[in-house]
Amino acid sequence: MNRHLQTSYLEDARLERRPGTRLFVALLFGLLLTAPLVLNRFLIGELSLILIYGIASIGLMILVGFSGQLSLGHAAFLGIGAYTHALLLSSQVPLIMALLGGGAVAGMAGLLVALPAVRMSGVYVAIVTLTFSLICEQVLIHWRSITGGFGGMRVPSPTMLGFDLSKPVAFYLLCLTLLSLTIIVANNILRGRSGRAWVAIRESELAARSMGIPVGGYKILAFGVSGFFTGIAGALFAHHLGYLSPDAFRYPTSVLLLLMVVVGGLGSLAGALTGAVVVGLLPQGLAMLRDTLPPALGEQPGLEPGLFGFILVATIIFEPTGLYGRWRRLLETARSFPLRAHPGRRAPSRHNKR
Amino acid sequence: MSELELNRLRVSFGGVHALCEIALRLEQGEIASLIGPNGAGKTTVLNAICRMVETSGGEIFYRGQDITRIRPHRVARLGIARTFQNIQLLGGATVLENLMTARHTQTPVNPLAALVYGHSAKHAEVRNREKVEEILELLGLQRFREHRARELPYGIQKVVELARALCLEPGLLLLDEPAAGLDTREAADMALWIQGINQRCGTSVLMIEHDMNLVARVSDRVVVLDQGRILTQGTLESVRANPDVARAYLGRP
Repeated sequence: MNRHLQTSYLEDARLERRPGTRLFVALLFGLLLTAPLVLNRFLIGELSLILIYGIASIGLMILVGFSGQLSLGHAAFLGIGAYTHALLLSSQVPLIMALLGGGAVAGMAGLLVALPAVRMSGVYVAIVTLTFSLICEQVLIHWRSITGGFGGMRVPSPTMLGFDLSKPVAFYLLCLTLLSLTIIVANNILRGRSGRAWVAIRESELAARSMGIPVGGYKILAFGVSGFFTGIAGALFAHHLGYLSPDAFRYPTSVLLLLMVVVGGLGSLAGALTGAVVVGLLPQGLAMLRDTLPPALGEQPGLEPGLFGFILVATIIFEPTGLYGRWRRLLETARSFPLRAHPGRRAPSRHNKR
Repeated sequence: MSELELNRLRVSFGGVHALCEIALRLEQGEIASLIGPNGAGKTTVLNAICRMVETSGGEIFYRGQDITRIRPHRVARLGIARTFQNIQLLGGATVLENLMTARHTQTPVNPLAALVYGHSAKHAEVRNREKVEEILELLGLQRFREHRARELPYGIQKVVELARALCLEPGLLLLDEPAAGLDTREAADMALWIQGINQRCGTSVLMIEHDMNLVARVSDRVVVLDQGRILTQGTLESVRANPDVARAYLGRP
């Protein structure tokens, strides 16, 4: 039973819409802050990767889940962010500036991709982004003087104000800070004028135009913002890898990112984060699975991408609102038990799409 | 200065002349109905005004400004709002979100405040919400506020689309068959609302409608369109008495 009495219009736009949410977020944040005290170095490293995935997933979610433009080449933005960041660090640019630089260059790449992409719709946008990522891959391989080609390049260790942030715990806290900032900024954009314009474009371009929304302009903006956040994630990812090579930024990574937003649930930031956690844990789960499977199956090459593809397809068919969408519906059912949940009072569209 | 003026407007799709030399004036505060048989070009007139189809010739003036060449979203910004024959709501969004989205043109742009959700962003949010609540109340939609548009009955969706058009605070309202698919009572309500909006806000209305009861109740003027030309215009009685109109609808006797 929901006994909350709304007293201000602003409550609808608050970050935490339900009374319990604030407590949950505070608890989660507290847990994440204290995690380094209990977890070992390896687990902290893995947790950092999940946080980085979270930033990238939010970046992709803005484009796919909110503005409704499909991208099959987001690994390219991750790569652009990573290489730019590493190059800036190598030329003695301070860490924060290099991070922002990585994001900015990836964001500009996003604007560039958007120019042809906004003239198309649906699957053709996806093809443009896929082509873009293939081009980027070739550039990373062949522009040896800058990227080191297949040989790759070393990423300078992160330092800020004289502190070495390359230690697992320090790096973890850096990732946590940046993810928190990303969530706040992304949420601010999404609950305002631009976020609503994106959702309008996703639902009906005709309606968006009739409401005075310049559809092309907002699509370009979505690509730019998405590229920016993904670029920031790429910059952090560079430190996680320690050594950059084009292999890390090819299409399997793009599929991995897409898997996060689809499995988590399109159209919500919580979905993006859920997806990042699930996908971040998958390799570990798969490793355990490999041990239990008969060798003939467990030692098959390509088991991992195969499984990813399978999960992607299965989610789209059986759970199109993703894990977060399912969770919302469970909550709704629990809240109105023993009555059936009112069909109209489901989660608003910001939180789940279908 | 008239609210809307179409001057020898032409629209062609390849060799098909959808509209030929349409000349139409709408005075400020007037309600005009566009009627005619299927395929007469009624929706094309609205689409041309909204710049959603390319014109092949002629001019469109809104309050003296030539809008023949501007982009569709600029039309809405000038104060022309429309509804669609086949409803174009944001299906997955709630009624509230639909209406808040339609406040786009009325919301000041302030990127920095938007990023940190600062004072001016909050202020705009509250102001928009007040306006939206006012419109929800005007059209009796409060209880559907949190419902998703897709899940509402057809009749209610029609009203929500009207509400969304009102959120633009338009000077000119273009309605494409507002009563299509509504039952008698809903259609009567729609007539009251259209009149109410017109009287309260002084909004001019150009409406396509087949329901002659509704047309009779609200229209100051009726314009009959047939095969891309204006057949006749005037009061409903005078139009009804015109033998050409009967011929257009029923064919040659």
